[in-house]
Amino acid sequence: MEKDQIIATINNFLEEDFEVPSSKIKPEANLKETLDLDSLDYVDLVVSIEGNFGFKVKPEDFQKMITIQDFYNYVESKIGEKTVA
Amino acid sequence: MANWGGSRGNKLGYSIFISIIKTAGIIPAYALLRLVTLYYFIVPGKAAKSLMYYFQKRLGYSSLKARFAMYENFNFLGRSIIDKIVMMSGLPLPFTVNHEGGSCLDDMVTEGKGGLLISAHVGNWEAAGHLLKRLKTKINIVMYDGEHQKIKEYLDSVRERSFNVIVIKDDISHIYEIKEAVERNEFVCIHADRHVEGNKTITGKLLGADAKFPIGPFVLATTFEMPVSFVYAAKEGPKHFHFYASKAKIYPRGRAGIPLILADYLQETDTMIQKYPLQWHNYFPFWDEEIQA
Repeated sequence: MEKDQIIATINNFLEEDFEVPSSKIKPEANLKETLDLDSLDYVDLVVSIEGNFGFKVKPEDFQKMITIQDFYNYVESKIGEKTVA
Repeated sequence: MANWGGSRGNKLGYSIFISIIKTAGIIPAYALLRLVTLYYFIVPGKAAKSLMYYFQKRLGYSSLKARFAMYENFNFLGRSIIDKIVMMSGLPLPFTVNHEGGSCLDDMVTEGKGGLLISAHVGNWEAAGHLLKRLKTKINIVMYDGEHQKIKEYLDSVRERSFNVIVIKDDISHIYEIKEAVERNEFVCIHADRHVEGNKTITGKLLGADAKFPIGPFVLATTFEMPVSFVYAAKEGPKHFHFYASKAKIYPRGRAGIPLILADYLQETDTMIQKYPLQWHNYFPFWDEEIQA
């Protein structure tokens, strides 16, 4: 999967599943604040990632995802790992 | 904010009550509780204000009736703690139970999909979880508050519990415990009438006035598209429970399903509170107009 496709997929489920306006989806935006995530609705994000990209996110990986750009990079690297494997 | 903080109970208190329950039974423990309740009634702290608002403004009680109701409410809370200690510690159960809607849960087990059981702090929520043991499927109870954590820590040192407790933590590890439980088609139980600081909320009408509810339990339901039943266990006598379970329903995935499930939850919970007004344990400002006052 190409980077542009990854970004488009992420942006799409952020808009569709999390009802985030497209104007707020910016690489530098804070992921947690933009999605207004609380302690339980992270589950929605975990399920969305698994459903769209086919890998499981480790809890500690969320600590590294501060911005939406971090999120794009993370998904890209995980897909890269899958491809190599 | 209608958050759900700590309590004034402690490990010594639980130890004393467990000793009495083991040596003399549950009725002497209830008798001692009357005295303990009196202390909480005389020195009620912030809880009194919220309870008086609930009884007077939402249920229309007179001032005198509301004060008696407040004492009984504290006493029911104490009883529920004693009952849950008995249930969770594996002591012989002295309780009888009337199951209403239990077949709905049997159907969920038979279909092998597990399910989400959403409850409220009406009656004894943990007892409801324990009463589900008869279903012969694993029960996971998701808990927010310090009170449950204290009991959990104490009981961990006493003996193994009969169900799994998932505590909501900052590191979001609970998300994975919940997800794995769902994937194993187990039951996940959670209450939805309290939110803690930082929780995302949704507004709904309970007992005729707007209040905020945590959105998390409803997100779980709509994310996993799993069968949802609303369950409650109220006390109808010193040793008798009435267990209620609504017919299981699957709600649409995504945010669109949340208002639907909230509406059903509020209707069921409203009915339960009206039926057992002394057993809804709300000790914090809960309704919007109460918070703003």
